[in-house]
Amino acid sequence: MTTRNAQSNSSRPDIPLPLEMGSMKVWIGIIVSAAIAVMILPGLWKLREPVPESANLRLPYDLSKDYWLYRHWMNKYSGVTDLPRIYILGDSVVWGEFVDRDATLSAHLNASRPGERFEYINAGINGLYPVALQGLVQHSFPLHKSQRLILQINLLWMSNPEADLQTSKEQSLNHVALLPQFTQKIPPYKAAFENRAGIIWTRHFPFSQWVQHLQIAYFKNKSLQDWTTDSGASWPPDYPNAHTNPMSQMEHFKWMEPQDDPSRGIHSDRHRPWFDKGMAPTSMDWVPMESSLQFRAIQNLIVFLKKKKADFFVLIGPLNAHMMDAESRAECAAIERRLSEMLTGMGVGHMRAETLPSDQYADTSHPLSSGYRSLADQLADNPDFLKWLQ
Amino acid sequence: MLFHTWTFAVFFAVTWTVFIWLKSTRFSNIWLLIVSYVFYGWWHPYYLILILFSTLVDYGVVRAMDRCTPGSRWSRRFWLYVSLVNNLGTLAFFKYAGFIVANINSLLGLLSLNLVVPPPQDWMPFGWDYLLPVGISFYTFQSMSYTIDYYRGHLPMEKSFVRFATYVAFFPQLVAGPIERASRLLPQFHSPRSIRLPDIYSGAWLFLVGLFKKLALANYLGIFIEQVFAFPDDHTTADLVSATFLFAWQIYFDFSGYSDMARGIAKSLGFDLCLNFNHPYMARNISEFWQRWHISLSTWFRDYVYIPLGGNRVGVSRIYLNLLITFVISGIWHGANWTFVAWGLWHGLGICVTRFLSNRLDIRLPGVLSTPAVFLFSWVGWVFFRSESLAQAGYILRRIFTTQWGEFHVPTLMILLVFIVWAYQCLCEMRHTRALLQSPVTQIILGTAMLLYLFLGSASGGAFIYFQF
Repeated sequence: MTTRNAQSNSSRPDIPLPLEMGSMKVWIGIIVSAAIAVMILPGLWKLREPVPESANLRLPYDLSKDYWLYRHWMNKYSGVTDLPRIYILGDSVVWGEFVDRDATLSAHLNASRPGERFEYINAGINGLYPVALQGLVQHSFPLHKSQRLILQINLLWMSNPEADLQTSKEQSLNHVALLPQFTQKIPPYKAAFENRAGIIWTRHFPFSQWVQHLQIAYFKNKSLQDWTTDSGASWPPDYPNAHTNPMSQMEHFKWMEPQDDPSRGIHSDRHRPWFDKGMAPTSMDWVPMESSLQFRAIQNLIVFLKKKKADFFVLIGPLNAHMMDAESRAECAAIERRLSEMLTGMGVGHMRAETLPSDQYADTSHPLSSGYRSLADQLADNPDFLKWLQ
Repeated sequence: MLFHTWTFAVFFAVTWTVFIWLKSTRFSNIWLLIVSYVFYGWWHPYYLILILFSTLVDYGVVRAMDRCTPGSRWSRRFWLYVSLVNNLGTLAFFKYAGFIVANINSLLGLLSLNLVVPPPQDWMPFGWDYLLPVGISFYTFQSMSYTIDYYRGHLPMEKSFVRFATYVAFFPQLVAGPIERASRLLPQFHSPRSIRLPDIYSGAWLFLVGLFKKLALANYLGIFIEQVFAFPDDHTTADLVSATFLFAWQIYFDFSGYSDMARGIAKSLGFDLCLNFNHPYMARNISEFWQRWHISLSTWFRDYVYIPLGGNRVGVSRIYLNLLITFVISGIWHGANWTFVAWGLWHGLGICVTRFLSNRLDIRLPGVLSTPAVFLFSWVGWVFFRSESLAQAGYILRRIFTTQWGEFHVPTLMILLVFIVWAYQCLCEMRHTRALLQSPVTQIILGTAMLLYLFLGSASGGAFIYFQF
């Protein structure tokens, strides 16, 4: 055998070869320096981006998926009082979909101060549902022993198979980063392995969460590279960010919601009772508790909170029973009753919110400003809640 | 399965762990063959039929040649032709049939003949899909090198089918090269496997560099380039200039990034793959460009096309003809489109002209101008390569050379990144700065910067450009 070809594809001797790089010493250096940077950078950034001191703070709608910021705010929120805090966890009902931040449940509780000894924090996120809420508490909420929480449970997510994530047709779900990726099957969630693995990586690598925060908060939810190549809203494309210094973009973070949000608050066109919007009572196709994915998530969440020794109180509802036909209303009441029995059996303090007056609802589950006031009053008068506060 | 995906990360973790366990046993090649087929079948299981067929034919052909009585030149040659017809026929059918049929039909139309050749999709039996198997040009060329080299007496017959099949399908370089010669890679499947720690470190470095080239550079440049080439009418001439300039870098980052990752992966398994790119835009003449660009393909064409055509051992005009033929074939290898023919022809003409000027008229560009001139030459070539059609290439070149350029919209960050890479390559080429770049401190800074940039800023992923070839 001849080996004439053995080196036949090597370069000409006078052409320098690329450098041979990467030794053990070099890799140790890279890993150490990268690890230092990865640990230090997000921490330094927190100094640059302090948590705002503000009453009734809530995560702005545009930053709903910024879980790094959520955790940072929940961890470091320095409220307007020195009182111990109670975090109210839940979906858009807690967050206040139709109201401004001074008219949410937490804001009304802060105004009436039942128990007089606490400050209530709006820890709700718009767009959540029980399966995602479970993920939020497990992965992004700074939970610690004896932490005081109010967990609001919105049973609307069991009101039909689609809302309960039972249908196999793919849905564009909100907050997919909070869903279980490999441990539980969620039929309408059909992400590829790549996306699921990326979510798991981000969940367990805080540096990636911080990078995601930078993208959401400063770069229109895009990577730095995608942002610089944004072709703009007009055509022909004008690439508005092509020559913009990315660092200058860092000054534009709007952590506060707009003062006059046209979508929310009493002056908003959306802030009207449900019957003024053409909605009518409807029949609901309730999913049995035994087979409900959302209910299982609620159960898991309660077990998780108990395991972590959190000090929590559960608020069930208030669903808009005026929007349900008689049969649906009866089924809803039965589910609430069974949930209440389950919580009693587990020794968890709770309150079944009474249905609010019809004109205090914006839709099937979201109260209007006056509805939140009524709900806060219900809590303030509830003996179980007052007992839990003590 | 792309190298920069989580799927590959899981695949490689399993592959590597089991391989380390099996490396000293006779099962190591079987394991590599299994994982290589899994890797390839991941795209489409149907591809496996083709690669297996090609492998079986070439393995059988060499066995048949081996059985020929010594001196029976014609029977050996017959078996060589069987291999060539099989490999080139497969390639022609799956890669070029559509193009050939379209051109025949156009010709028939021009001649006003009422005849239409049905498209190759209609020729498929049992309703099978007509697909272009990923990387078919790479593995057929690799397999052919074995039969040709055996025929020429440059290497012995490989007795083990598993070893030969692993050589053809070896997953790090299966779909986009480097195109390894049997004489270089096959012996590595014979030798007792030893994976040394320095191999793993340098393999990891190569992988990091390749990943950076792909994710941070090629994909990023691709966003702007795709937009401009999709809507050339809606962009300024300055944007066309930028996009064509950047494409020269995008294809380099994309393809050399894949080669770097392939070499890195192979190294971590104890295999040494050949260098495929060596700072091509630092070349001082077009010949040198081809000694730095896709080295494994250009040497393949040199050894199996140019030299058999007569190479440099014939008259001057025949040398020029041989060069043109070789480069046109090389262009066609890249794809079934006249744009690739034009690209090959452009390079062939470039080599002929510069060869004529330097050998006959003793005209050479001064050193300081030669590298930029080669880059400019290749830049024009890439316009043909990237364009959808010759008409689009002509339109872009006409606008660049005849209209006001207007406003540049290319992101400053892109230009900055390309400039940094260019400056790094310049420093690599200079003897007195190489030592500085190779110092551990510089490597740590470079490695950390690449890693952090990948975390911080890289754009969303995409397939490698060269997979389509």
